[in-house]
Amino acid sequence: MFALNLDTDKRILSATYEQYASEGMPIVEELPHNEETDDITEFRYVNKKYVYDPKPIPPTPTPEPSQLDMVEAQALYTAMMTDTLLEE
Amino acid sequence: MATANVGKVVLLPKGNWSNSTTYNYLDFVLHNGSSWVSKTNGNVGHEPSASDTTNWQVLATAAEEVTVESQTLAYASQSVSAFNGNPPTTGWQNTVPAVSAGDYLWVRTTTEFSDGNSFNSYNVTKYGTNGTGVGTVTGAKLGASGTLIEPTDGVLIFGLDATPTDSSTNLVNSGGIAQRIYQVVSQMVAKLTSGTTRKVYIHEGATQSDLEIDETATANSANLITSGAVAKKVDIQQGSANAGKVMTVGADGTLSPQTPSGGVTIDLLWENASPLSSFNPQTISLDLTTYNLVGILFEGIDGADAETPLVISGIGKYVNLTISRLNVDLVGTAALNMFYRRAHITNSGIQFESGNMYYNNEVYKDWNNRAIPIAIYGIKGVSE
Repeated sequence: MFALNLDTDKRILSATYEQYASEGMPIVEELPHNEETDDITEFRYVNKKYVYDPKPIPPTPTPEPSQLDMVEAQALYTAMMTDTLLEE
Repeated sequence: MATANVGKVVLLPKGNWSNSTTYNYLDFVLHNGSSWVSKTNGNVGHEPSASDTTNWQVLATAAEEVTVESQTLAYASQSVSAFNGNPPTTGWQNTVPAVSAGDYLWVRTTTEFSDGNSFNSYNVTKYGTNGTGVGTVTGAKLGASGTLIEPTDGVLIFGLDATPTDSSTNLVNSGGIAQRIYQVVSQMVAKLTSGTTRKVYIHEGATQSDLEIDETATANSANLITSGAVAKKVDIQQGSANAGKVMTVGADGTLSPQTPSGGVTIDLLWENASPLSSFNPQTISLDLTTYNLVGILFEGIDGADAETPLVISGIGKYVNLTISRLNVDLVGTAALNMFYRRAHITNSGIQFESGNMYYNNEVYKDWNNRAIPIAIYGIKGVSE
């Protein structure tokens, strides 16, 4: 058994086990999941039912090229221009 | 043939007497159940009665009606030695006397009639004995709820054993009277400090008061406590005032909760049931008033990290759940990667802010799948 910590819009913030529940927390037998995700924060708990409501995904940082990346890119470019690219 | 009038020579029946009929000598009438003969001629208007001897002679008188006027009860006791089957001649009274066990009670009924006659009738009863002595239980059995039900033949005798042992078959162990009989549903053995053991029986429907404690018990007492102490319930459940304390036993056997000296108690207060999920900003409500310190176990990325550091801080403090990494590529270029989340610890719980990431000199906010709390501990017995 689990206890849900809900936001004001019924979105699941976190889950703990029943013995650690605070007053007013809904108690459920299973945590939500579907084919898309196991992340419980992608669901809201409304009228004792789970509603899948994914959140917008924050932008993923693109790492800047390292020195090795730049050396590899230069070598590849040179090989292509001189037709010396090694075939696998 | 010549005839001569010699008058009336036989009784002449005239039926019931009438006030208007003229009766003559030897006329025979019935009146109020009696029969009468007229003594005169021209007898009219005279009602036959015993007092009218001039006109009437009674032949047969009607039977007189007799009724019961009263009945009176009287009582008398009679000892076994004096009893011979005949009622006593003395000692009669109008109230029931005290009769000793085994003696006799006589009851006399005196009936008086309207004609002045009377007669006595008697009943006698033998009083039973007090029922002491050893006997057997015949026909008794225990009901479903453990109650004793009446035997079908009406015979139920409880044996009393003044010196019972564990193998005694009688009901009462002190010469008393059995009041309740229970079906024993459980049995345990209490070991006394003297080393001896006593059996304790738990019966169906038992309550706390059924486990009686003898306040004047001795080492050989059959009760639970050997030194005159009274057993008390001490609540040491998590969250109670005594949680985390140790129990000391006094000389009289009483238990006293004591704060452990030099010991540290760590209680698990909360555990993340879905550590692979994101952890949005939120408050975890907890009663932290009895704890000196709070520990937060967390991990860097939802389940992908082997790093699970524990931060410990006091009530009212802000803490940062931070994991830093230094990523170094093959040519030796280093980049700092850091996950962090701030939390505020109060007496009523912990307020967690959003997770964040620092990467390549950039800060990415609201990355809530970073710096995820796994468990929260309360720590007692230490100073901040």
